[in-house]
Amino acid sequence: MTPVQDAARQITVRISSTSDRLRVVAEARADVLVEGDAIVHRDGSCTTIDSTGRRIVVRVPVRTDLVIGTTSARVEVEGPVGQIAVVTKSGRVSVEDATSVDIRTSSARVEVGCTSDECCVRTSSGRVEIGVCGSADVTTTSGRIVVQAANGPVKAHCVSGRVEVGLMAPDDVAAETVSGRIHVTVPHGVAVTTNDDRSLLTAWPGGAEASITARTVSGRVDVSSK
Amino acid sequence: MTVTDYPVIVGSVLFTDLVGFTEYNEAVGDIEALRVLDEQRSLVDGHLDGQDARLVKEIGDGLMIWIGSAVGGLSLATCLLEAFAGIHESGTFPLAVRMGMHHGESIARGDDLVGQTVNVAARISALAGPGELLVSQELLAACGSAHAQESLRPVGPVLVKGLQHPVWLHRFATS
Repeated sequence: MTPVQDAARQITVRISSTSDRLRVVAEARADVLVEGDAIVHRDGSCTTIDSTGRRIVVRVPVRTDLVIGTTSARVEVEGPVGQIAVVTKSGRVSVEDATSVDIRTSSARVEVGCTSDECCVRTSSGRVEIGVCGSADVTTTSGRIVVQAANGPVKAHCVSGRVEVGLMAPDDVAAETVSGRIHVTVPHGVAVTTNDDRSLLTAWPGGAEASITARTVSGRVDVSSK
Repeated sequence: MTVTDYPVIVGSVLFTDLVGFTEYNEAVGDIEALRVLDEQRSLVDGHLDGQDARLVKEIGDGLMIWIGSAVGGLSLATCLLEAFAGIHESGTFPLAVRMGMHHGESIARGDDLVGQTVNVAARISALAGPGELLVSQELLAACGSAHAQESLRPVGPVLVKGLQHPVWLHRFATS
């Protein structure tokens, strides 16, 4: 076990890993602790970890910013972290609680519990499930993305896949698909009408309004209330 | 013949890709798809005029462009990104464009370029989303301080076969 950092300021941990399994635990601590075979380099508030062992566990202070790259590892991030960016080809990525996420994958399965700010996900064919987020910017080619509760503006793009977004606040939605399906759900009591330019207008209880712009070639973009 | 018989050039390699072009072609037919490719080519040719840059080749709906300097490369790529976003937003161009760029040595093989710089640039492009430009840390390092740091955001390291160290990526988005 290697304690590598003790700082009270915002910490960034950058991890590149060829391991089978990478687990990051954000907990009440001031340092960064690496369990497993890894080369660790510290530069100010930034710690860079290059892991080659089969399994690695990295313990970080709460709300640490993370930048992670793997090929096909199982990536688990537990506890509240800050901004997190993950690039992976396949495998499985789960993030419990982050300020914001940016996840790019070819076919990995992605699960995000909650983010307070932006949730950005790019996938080709993987399945993505996002619980609660601020704004959402999601893209899939042929996979399926589910955003259960977005509390900010939403950008959803799919080629032939499927995107489902639950909108919880009066924010704009920009949805675009070639031949896929994008489905937006608004809360019960929100009125949806069509504008002159064929975009949709949502009228929320309390008087707030927002727009849903949809662009499709042969796909389908629809809105319903629950 | 050995690799030393081919000239090695240093510069930036930019890949562009039309997101969903195959499905678009399927939905609208060949004639309309060709119109989109022609419009893309025309827009890019206009931006390459007078630059130390050239279109290396068209790869289906994608383009491979070489630029003589990292600063020039970043400038060209961001101009293209904004130009494509503009015509896409206005509804005149049906598809979004994604881009990836890397900087380093390439081997000239006739008009074509080959080597790891090209491979990495292609891999980076595949990770970009619609309306996004991803660039490598190497490209930013070659730019020195001549780039707008505030419009870039780290997105993670990509591990590329054949490279000992990961390539760290940054995202540039028009909005």
